[in-house]
Amino acid sequence: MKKGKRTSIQFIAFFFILAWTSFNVGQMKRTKKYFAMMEPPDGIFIDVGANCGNSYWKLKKDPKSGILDSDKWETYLWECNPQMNTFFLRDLANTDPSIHLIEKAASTEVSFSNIFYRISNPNLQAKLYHFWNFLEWIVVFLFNSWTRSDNG
Amino acid sequence: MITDKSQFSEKGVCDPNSAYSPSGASTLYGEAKRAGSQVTVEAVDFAQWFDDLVRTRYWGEEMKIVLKIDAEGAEKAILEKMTQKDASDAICKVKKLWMEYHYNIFKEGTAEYDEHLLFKDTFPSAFEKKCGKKLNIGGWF
Repeated sequence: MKKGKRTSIQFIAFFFILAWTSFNVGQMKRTKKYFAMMEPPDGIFIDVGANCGNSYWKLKKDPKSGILDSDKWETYLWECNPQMNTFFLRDLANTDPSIHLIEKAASTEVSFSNIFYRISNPNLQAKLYHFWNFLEWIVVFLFNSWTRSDNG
Repeated sequence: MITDKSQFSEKGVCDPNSAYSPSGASTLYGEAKRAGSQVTVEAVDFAQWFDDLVRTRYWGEEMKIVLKIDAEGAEKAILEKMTQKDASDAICKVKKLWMEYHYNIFKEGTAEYDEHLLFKDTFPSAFEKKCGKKLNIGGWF
């Protein structure tokens, strides 16, 4: 076998071994985390009305709080606002098996409830709504004026 | 309808120092001042869920259970149920409770406003009566 060809094969083999090892280290970390969940947790953090996870992040980034200060905490995030779950909390829960997302409304009974959630930037939405109403009014006014003058 | 995170205010950044960013909250009360778009969701008996959690995951006094409730008015009914005489003592396992009282989401002078305002005064004593200890309660952080 030529030297150049042998070097290429060695390089590819090295690359595959490196990739395989990295993958397994990642897997091991995840497995370790799952095993950690079988032990008593240091604590449980329950966030009812988790919004985008802002409280979770605040506590996680503040070691002085004494909350979420180790990997052995379990977190339960309750959020029924579909926007928050879609754009923020599902991603957060997928990063860590100790975070559990409950996409339901906390209530006093099991049921289906109507919730009323704020849309993003509601002021802008309201302005747009009024703007379109105004535009519609102008079109109707012009159309009526035009048909009236036609009839006259 | 939001199709992308950037359509939220603050360009969709989840700000840990803000209770409102990037979006407002959701409430079970349609008459609330902050009520917005309506959607039907599954609701769960929180007290029952919490009982089950304590039964299966609570390992003893050295373990911390921290509860944060910012439920836009629903906190009153939930916590009243958990501190009732015939309720379990699961709530007593809570080491620290953070909550925001939401009487101000209702119009002043309405029955809801008065009831939720009264709850602010009665809840700490109801907890003490139930658990025989003072509640470590904090406001919004």
